[in-house]
Amino acid sequence: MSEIVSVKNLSRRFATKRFFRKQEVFSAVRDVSFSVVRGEIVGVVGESGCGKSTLARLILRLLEPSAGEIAFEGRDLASFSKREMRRLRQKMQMVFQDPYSSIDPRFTVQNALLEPYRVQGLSPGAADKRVAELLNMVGLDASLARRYPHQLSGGQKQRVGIARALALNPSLIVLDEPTASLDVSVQAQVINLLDGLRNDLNLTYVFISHDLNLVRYFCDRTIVMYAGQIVEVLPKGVPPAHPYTRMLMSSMFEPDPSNRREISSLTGEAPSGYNLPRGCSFAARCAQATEMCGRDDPVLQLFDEDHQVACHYFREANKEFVGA
Amino acid sequence: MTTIVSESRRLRLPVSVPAVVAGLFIVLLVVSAVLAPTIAPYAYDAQNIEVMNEAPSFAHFFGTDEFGRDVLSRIIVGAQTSLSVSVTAVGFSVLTGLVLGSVCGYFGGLVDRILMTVIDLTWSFPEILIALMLVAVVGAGLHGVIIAVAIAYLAQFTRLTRTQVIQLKKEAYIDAAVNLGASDFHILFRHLLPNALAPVLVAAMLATGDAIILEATLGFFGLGAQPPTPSWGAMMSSGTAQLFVAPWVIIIPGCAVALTVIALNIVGDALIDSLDFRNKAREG
Amino acid sequence: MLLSVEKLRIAFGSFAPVKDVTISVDRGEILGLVGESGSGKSLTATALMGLLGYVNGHVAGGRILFDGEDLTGLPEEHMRRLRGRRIGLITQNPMTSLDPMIRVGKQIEQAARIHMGLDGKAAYRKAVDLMRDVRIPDSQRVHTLYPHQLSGGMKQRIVIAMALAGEPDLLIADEPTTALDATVQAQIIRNLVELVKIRGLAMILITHDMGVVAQTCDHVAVMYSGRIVERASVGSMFAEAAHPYTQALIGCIPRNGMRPGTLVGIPGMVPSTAALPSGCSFHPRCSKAHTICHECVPEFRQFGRHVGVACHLAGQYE
Repeated sequence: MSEIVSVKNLSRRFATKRFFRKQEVFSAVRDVSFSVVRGEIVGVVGESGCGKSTLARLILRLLEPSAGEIAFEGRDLASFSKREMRRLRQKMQMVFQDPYSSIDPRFTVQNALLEPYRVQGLSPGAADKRVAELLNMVGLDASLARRYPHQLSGGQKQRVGIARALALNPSLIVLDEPTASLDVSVQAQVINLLDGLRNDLNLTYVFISHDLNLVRYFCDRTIVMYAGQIVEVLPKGVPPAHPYTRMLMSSMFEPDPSNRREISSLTGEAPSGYNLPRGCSFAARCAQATEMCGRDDPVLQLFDEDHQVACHYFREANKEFVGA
Repeated sequence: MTTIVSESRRLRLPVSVPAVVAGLFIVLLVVSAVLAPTIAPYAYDAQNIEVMNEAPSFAHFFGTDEFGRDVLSRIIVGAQTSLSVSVTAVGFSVLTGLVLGSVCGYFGGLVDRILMTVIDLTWSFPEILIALMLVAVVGAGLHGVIIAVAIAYLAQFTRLTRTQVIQLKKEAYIDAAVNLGASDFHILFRHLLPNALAPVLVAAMLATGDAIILEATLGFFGLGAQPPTPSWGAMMSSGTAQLFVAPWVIIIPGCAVALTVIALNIVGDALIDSLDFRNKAREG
Repeated sequence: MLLSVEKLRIAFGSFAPVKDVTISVDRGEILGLVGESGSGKSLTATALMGLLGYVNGHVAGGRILFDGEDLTGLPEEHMRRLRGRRIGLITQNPMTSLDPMIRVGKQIEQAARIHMGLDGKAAYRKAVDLMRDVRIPDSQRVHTLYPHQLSGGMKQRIVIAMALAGEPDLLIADEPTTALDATVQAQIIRNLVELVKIRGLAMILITHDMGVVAQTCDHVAVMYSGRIVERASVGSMFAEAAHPYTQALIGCIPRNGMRPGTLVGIPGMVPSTAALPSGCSFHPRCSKAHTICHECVPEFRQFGRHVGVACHLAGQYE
C-alpha cells in the first residue's frame, strides 16, 4: 500500500481587503492532514463553505497553501519549480463541477481533448484516432468530436471533461462535485462510468461532494469536513461517531417512505470562516456539547481501525447508531 | 423554461432591418472611400471661379464651395481621410489595449496597479482635451491626429479587456488548462484573448464612430488634415464663413459625420446582440 | 377537492412543452410533482400561479379548478387577488425573491398589508409571528436585518414566511431547498411539512429529489418531457412503481447502506422538449420498450383519484 498523496497540517486563509474596512481573514481550510493510498476512492463530504473545494485545489496546487505541506508520490510539491510542476500535472487531473464552464466555448470536443497534448508538448499519435478512443472510453460516440460544447447535453459535457482528464494517463483524479449539476438519472451513469474507469485504468480518486449518501456509496473512505477542519474519517460501512456526521446523516432524505424520520432537533448553521468560535466549531449546534467543547478544539484521534474522530466525547459515542 | 427562451430567440430575425441598412451604408462608404479618386466626379482640389458657392444641381449634386470646388467630390475624398484616420487610430488603440489589458488582468499585482493608474489618469480628462494636448506636442497634421485619437481611446480598450480577462479567469476551463500544465502564454492566447475579443471588437466599432467625430472636431479647429487635403471637419470649418450664403457647404459634411456615426452605432448594437458567444454556450 | 388540474396543456405559440397534465390536491395533503430538467414541472407551477403570460406562454387546453373556480380564463386583476392571498408561492432561489434594499421584516409586513389589509402594529405582530412559525430564532432582531445579512437558509425561511402572510389555502413550493445545504434543507422541509399539517394547507412540492418526496409527500405525480407518466400514493409508488421511468428514477438514488455496484443509471439523456422522440418519449431509454412504444403515445390510464399510469406495458411485463 503506497501513499499517492499525503497532506500534512494544511491550512489556507484568504485575506479580503475592502475600502474603509479593516482586512478580514477567511479560514477556508484549517490544519488538515490525511493521506490517500494508491487505488482507493477517498470521499470528502461537507456543506458549502466547509473548505472541501479549497482542499481539492490545494491538493492539485491550483492554490498555494498558507501553511502545511502536500506530498505527491512521496515528493513535496513545494519543492517543484514552476516548470517541473507543469510536467507533474500529467499525473494529477481534475474533473470540475460545472460542465457548462469547464470546456472553452470556442473549442470543439476534438480540440478540448487534444489540448492536454498540446500544452504538454506531447504527441497524441494519430489525433483523430486518439480522440475517438478517449470518447469511447467515456461512452460517447466518436462523431461528437466536431461538436462545440453548447451542442452537448450536461451529461455529455461532463463525460468530455472526464475524457480530457484521462488523456494524459494520470494516476490521481480529483473529482470536484462531478455530478452536482446533472440530472439524477445522469448522475448514476457518471458514477458507474467513473467506477468502471477506475478498475480499468488503476486510478485513484479524491471525490468531493455534498451528498453523504453518494460519497458513502461510492468511496472506500469518507472524510467529513466542517468549518475547514476534518471532523471524522470514516471507513466504508462503519457507522459515524461524530455528532456532526450523524446530523448530516439524519438530514439525508432516504428514498423510502416506510422509513420516515421524525422531526429531529436539527438546528443552526455552520459558522463562517471569517468568524470562527473558540473550541469545537460544532459545539453551538451539538446536543452533547459541554463547557469543555466551547474551550478546547478537539483533535482528530483514532477511534477504531482506520476510523478517526475529532470529538471530546467520541468514546461515549453510541456504536449502535445506524443513521435512523 | 430555458429551452423556450432559446426557441423564441432562434425564431427572431438574426439582424434587424435598420442594421442591414446601416451595414450597407458603411460598406458603400468604405468602397467609395477606397475608390475615391476614381469615382469622384471632379478632382477634389479643382477650383472653378465660375461656379462659386453654387447650390446643389445636376452638375454638382451637393453644390460647390467658396472656391467652386465640388462638395460631393470633397466629401468622397474626405471620407477617405476621416475613415482611414479613425480606423488606424482605433486599430492601434485596440491592439495596445488588448495587450495592456490582458497583461494587467491576467497577472495583476504591482504592474497592474501602476499601469491602470496611468490609464485611469488619461481617462479622467475629456478625450478632446487629451487630443488637443497631444496635437500640441506632436504637431498638427494627420499623424498628430492619429496618435491623439489612439491615445484618447486607449483607456477604454485596456479597461474593457482587463475586466473581460478578470471575469474569464474564473471560468472552470481556465483552471482546467492550468491543471493540464498550460503555460501563461497558452492560457492568455488560446483561452482568454479569443474569448475576450468579441466585446472588444464591438466596442471598437462604436469607438470608430466617436473617433470620426473627434477627428472632425480636430479638423474643424484646423489641427487635422492641412489644406487642400479635404476632411469632413476641415470642410465644416471652412463652411462657417459661408453659413448664410452657401449652407450646404457646412450641412453636407455635418450630415456625413452624423450618418456615419449613427450607422456604426446601429451595426455595433446589432453585433452586441448576435456576437455574445458565452451566452450562446450557456443556452445550449 | 381544493385544486384539480384537468388535462392542462401549456403552449408557446404552436409549441406545447406541457401536455395533458392532470393532478389534484386537497387541504392537508402534500402532492409531490417530480421530474428532471425539461420535464415541465416548473412550467406547470407557473401556469397554476397564472404567470404564464410573463414568459409569453398560455394555457392551450384543459382546466385549473381552484375551489370550484376555473382559473384558466380568469382576468389578470382577479388572478392577482388570488395570487399570494389564496395561493402562495415559494421559489427556488431566495437570493432573487427578496428585495436587497428592504429590511426582511418590512418585506413580510408588506405581504401582510397587501393580502390581509393589516397595518402598523398589526402587520409588525403578524411578521414576527410568521417568523416564529418558520422557526427563525430571535425574530425581533432579524426583523430589522437586510437580506445580505442572512444566510441562504434564513432567507428561504423569510420567503416562506412571506408566502404564508396571506394565509393561503394552497402553497406551491418550486424546488424550495435545492440551493441549500443538506442540514438546512432538512430543517426547512420538515418545517414546511409541519406548517402544512398544522394549518391544514394543501401543498404542491415540486422537486427532482425522490428522497424528499419519500420523506414528505402523500401523493406523487411523476413528469417526463411534459407529460405525467405516473401518479400514485407515495407508499405504493416506492413499493411498486408501475412506470419504468419511475422505477428507474428510484433506482438512481444512492441510499444509506447500498451495496457497491447496485446503483443503476438510466441510459441516454433527457430529450429536448423541442425534439421529442416518437411514441412514448421515454422509449429510447426504456429497457422494456416494445414496438408499440415507438409508434403510439401512451394514453394516461386513470385508476383512481390519485392513481394512474401512462405506459403501454404497465401491468403486463411482470
